[in-house]
Amino acid sequence: MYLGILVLLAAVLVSVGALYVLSRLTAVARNPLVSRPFLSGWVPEEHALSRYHARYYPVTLLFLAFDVEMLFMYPWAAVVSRLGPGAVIEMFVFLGVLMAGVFWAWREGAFKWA
Amino acid sequence: MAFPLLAQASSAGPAPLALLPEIFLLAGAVVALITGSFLPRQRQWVSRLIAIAALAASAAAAAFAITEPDRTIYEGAYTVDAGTSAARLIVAVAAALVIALGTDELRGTERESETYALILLASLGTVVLAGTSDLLVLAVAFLLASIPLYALIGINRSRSSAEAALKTYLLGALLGIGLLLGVTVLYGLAGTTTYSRLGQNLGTAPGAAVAVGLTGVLAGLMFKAGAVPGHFWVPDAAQGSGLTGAAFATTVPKIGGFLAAYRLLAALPGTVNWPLLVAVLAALTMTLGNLAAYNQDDPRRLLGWSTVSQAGYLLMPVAVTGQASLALPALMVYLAGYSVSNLAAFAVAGAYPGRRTLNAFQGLAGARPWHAAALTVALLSLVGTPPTAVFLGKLTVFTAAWEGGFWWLTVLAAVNTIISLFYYLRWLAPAFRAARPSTPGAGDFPAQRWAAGTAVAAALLLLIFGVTAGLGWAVIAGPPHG
Repeated sequence: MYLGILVLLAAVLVSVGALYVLSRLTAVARNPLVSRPFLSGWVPEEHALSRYHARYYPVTLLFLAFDVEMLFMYPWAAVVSRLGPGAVIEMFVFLGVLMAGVFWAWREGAFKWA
Repeated sequence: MAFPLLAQASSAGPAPLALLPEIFLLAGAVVALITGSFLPRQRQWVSRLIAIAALAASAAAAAFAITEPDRTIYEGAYTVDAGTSAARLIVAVAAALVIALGTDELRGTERESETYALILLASLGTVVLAGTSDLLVLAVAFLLASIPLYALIGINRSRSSAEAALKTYLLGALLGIGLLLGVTVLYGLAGTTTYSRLGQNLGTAPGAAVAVGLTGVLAGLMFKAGAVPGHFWVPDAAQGSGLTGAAFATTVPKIGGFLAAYRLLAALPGTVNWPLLVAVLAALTMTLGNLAAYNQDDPRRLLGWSTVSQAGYLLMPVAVTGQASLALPALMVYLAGYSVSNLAAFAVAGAYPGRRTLNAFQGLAGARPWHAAALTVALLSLVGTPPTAVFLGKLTVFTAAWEGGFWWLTVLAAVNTIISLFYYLRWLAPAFRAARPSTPGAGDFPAQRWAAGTAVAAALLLLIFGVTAGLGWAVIAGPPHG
């Protein structure tokens, strides 16, 4: 009874080992993939779990520089025709100062996202 | 007439030319920032020149406008009078001194032009704070003066300056919310934010509600002034941040804070007993500052606590707003003298950045007599010794408080002045002793050139101001009254 089991075990081991040997003999490269292909087939350049910095503070400040002017422009748009050219000049000076901030942020490299 | 257009502009409506000193500060900040971002690090001095030129232009415009009659512009939102003119001049001179004494520290650093832009913007906020007569502009000016200040304190990115910046920011955010709450309450009670109508409309409002609103606004202004209860950030900013940030934070924001408090209190009706509140704050501030300064061993922290105690003396004329005719001139003279004295003392501390204990200054008088003389003038001026500038300030401030009926505050301030002599002498005495082998960093005193030069120049300015005080006083106070 035990002889049958031992023969079966030997047959399994030999066939599995033969598959490994066959694979070794027929393989094009010994060590095909170091990391798993997680980028849909693209050559992976970074680790699957690597983190990148969203840089929230510069993004927030840039958002404010663009958004606060909107906040002031809505009420301004409603009364600008009544107030005349003085209001136009004031608003564009205000926008100019804000754009100076955006300009500075651009020179500091805040728009290089990656 | 220097500015004919100034005279033509209507007394109430928009008058951009009357804001020329403020416009120079804003334009200087923008141009210095953008220029700096196109210059290599070794040529940032161009940006420094732009900042100095903007401050000089602002001071010149303020000096030309000083003879204009008092008036309000932008429908009562901004007052152009002797107080505003004096604040514009003091802020411009003080900011220029700060830039000069920080040159050694900032030259060729990563954030040089940004520092100059922040100094100009915070100065602009202080000037607007000093000149505004409208609660909404007051709130905006508070933010404009505060936010660049946080950045200035933390800009050299050391551990201690980060701690100082965080403390300043948290306290400023808390008390700034108090200011906004106070503005909201006062606006709700009066139905207007203009000071001239605030007084009439608040006369019939419940006193307790007016007191709540006023306390909130005063809390924010005491943060700017560095007085109790908003004083915790001052010693940390003085010790932890870089020389430029420390010298600026302990000098310039005060000018706006005190003048804004003066203007608001002058507009309020007599239904709230605010003089007593301000007098108690003054007494607490000067006593606490003096007692805390007593044991300090770091000259910059000592100056920080001394700043707190000076804020107490500066609150005395604010407490007698409207009751003593001397109040505003006394406040302005004291602010002018204090600003230059404090900056001269900081400049001496900054000329020897490696010497961070009082004993490390042993042998200064032998090695560098001019710097020791500048230190002596600056510290004796902070005490209030004739013939220096703060002597006149203290004299007028004490007179104003006495005239306004706060005799106990005057007595307390005199006692505090005597106490303060001891801790200023704790710094002066080692400077005039010979260096010993045990002195930390003994030997020759290699000085930072710009900081030392600024110290000597500021000390000369103090002496000139103090000696010609009688003449200056006659100009500021006008013809004698009574």
